[in-house]
Amino acid sequence: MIKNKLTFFCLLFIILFAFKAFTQTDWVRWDKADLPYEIHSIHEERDYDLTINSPSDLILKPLVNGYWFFVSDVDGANCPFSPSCSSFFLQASEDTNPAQAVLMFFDRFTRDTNIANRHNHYPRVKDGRFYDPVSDYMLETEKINYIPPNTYLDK
Amino acid sequence: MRRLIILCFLITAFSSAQQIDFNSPHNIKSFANHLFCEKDYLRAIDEYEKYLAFEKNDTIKFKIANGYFLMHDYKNAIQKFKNFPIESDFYFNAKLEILKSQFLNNDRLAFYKMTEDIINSNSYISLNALKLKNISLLLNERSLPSKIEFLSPFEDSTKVRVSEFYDWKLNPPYKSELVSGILSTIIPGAGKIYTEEYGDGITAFILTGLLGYLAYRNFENDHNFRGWVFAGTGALFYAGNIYGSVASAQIYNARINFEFKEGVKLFLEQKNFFTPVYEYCK
Repeated sequence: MIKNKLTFFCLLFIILFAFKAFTQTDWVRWDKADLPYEIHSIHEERDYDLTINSPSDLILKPLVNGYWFFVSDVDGANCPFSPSCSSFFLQASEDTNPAQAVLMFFDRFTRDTNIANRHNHYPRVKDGRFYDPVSDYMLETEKINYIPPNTYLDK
Repeated sequence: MRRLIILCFLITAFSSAQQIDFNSPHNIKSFANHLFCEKDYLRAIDEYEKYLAFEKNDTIKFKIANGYFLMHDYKNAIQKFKNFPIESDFYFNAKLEILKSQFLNNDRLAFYKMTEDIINSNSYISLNALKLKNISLLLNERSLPSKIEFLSPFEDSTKVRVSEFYDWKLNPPYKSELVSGILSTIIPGAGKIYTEEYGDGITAFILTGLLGYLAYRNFENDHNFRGWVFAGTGALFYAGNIYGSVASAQIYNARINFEFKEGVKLFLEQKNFFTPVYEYCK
């Protein structure tokens, strides 16, 4: 009886010790994790397009593409609006004419400078930017698609 | 003793284990009602169709049609509601539901034709049809009748609200694009403040003013190149501010239209499109 009890306790001790022994995980020294800290930029999918479809493209497209390449892609996607101001300018010149596009751009830049109360004026797209399309500023009422502020759009 | 207890248990167990007939008409209907109340309209419709194979029942037919309506399947809803003959108790209710479905399906031609038919029939639903027709005129470009004629079918409790909609439709509180542009020409940003874009207006004023001041100071100190740069940029911002003020007036007006239409739609939903409310799941 005493021998059986002794055997039992020995086995129990071995089993418990085995559990503890194999719970040790730190066999490898922890190393510094190599995390990428760059913010994913929408400009990685930038459409660098230099095709000339109209005379104004001779000046505008190199200008805008140059700004993207040398400034925007280095600095990061900082514009709070979607489309960004440079894309807005390019799209405006395609949809209207260069003079109107310049006026639309400077108006857009003014609205970009105003940091107050944007969330009460513009809807948002998925990545949190404020949705401000060119079609709303072409002075054609039938093209204005009013979306209430604080609406989140899928696209 | 133990054997006696086990025997008693077995006897009671077998006697309680009766077969439930799940395919009896009563059970099918109960199940369908349960599904309907759980808003599983598609399956409820299937079960109701099964029930109709046993027994013709206008209430069930009406619920099937209503089920399609609640699923926003207006085409099928209209088709089912049309199956009620004139002798049926649900005939007039079904007509109202068809009208509602045509309105929500944007089938304007059919909607207006049906409203005229119902109004001319002088039935007890003519007033409901007239109310819905009048409100629908607020949402499209058709000309409105006189105010007295427009308000005549409505009760006093709703006349105030409907009157507001009527006035708004005739004289919407738009902002003038011309006024906005002129104000911004005189004072940069004033046009945007006029269209309630206060932040943008103040920013435009500060930007244009600052660039103008910088241009002036540079010219004063004979820094002509810089002066022209600031003057040119200031001029572009000034022109952009005028353009933006006109655009903001248009966007303001678009917002007024949007809010008006949403307000009318909300009013119609609150009134259930002037159709009776059916409470199937009390």
